[in-house]
Amino acid sequence: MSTEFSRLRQERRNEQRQFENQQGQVQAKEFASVEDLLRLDSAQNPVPLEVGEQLNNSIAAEAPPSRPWYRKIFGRA
Amino acid sequence: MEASVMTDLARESRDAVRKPAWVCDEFGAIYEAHSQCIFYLALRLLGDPAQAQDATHDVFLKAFRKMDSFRGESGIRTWLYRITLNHCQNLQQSWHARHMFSNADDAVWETAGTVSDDPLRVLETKELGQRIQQTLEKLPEEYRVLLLLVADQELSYEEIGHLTEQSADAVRGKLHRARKSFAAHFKKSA
Repeated sequence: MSTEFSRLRQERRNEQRQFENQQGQVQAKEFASVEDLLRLDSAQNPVPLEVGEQLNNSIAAEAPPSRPWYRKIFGRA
Repeated sequence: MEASVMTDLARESRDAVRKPAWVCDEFGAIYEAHSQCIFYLALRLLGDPAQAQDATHDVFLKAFRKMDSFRGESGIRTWLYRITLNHCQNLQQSWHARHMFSNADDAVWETAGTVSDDPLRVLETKELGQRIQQTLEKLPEEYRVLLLLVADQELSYEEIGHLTEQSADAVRGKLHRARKSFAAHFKKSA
């Protein structure tokens, strides 16, 4: 189990390294605006997967509301 | 064959981690749609990936708890941005990490001439994040927030104005100065 986990982790590291190498090969890229620059930066910084998982766990640990908000918003009975 | 089964299992296991089975599907959809922009705003306001992760988690958990009070007067994304800005400001205040700015910083772009006419050049996108962070940290907080919000194409000037408590015209004027200031500092950081 832990060996498999290590292998997955290693795989992910390799993918990340490969991605970084590809990014590093982009030479003298030009941006017409600050917004374009920031959009690329945002694309290069994806939300780590752990955040969604931790959030899901936190939500699961919450006491269920008496009347779920999504029923109110999405109009479900 | 065995190796192939193992690979499939590994892939399934990895995908399961990537896409959690949300305990609340509706909120999961909200998270999938807006988490990237919230994480990025937190990352560049706080300047630290670990703190940005925590902030993203906390913002969405807060949103989950407060969903009942969301009245739909603004879009969900605008509402999430509001929570993020408040959350990051509170964190910065508690860390005593506010930056002080002098008038000398403004002078950089006031004397920069045609600086905003040139494209922003980056030799290696690898170094991009670091340079952007350094540049943003040299700007007044208001400019930083405006630039990060306007980079999100889903937000209108009106919505940005609503978020930053000013008119859309004021946002336009300040953005012009913020862009020039950013460009001047960014070029100096090369």
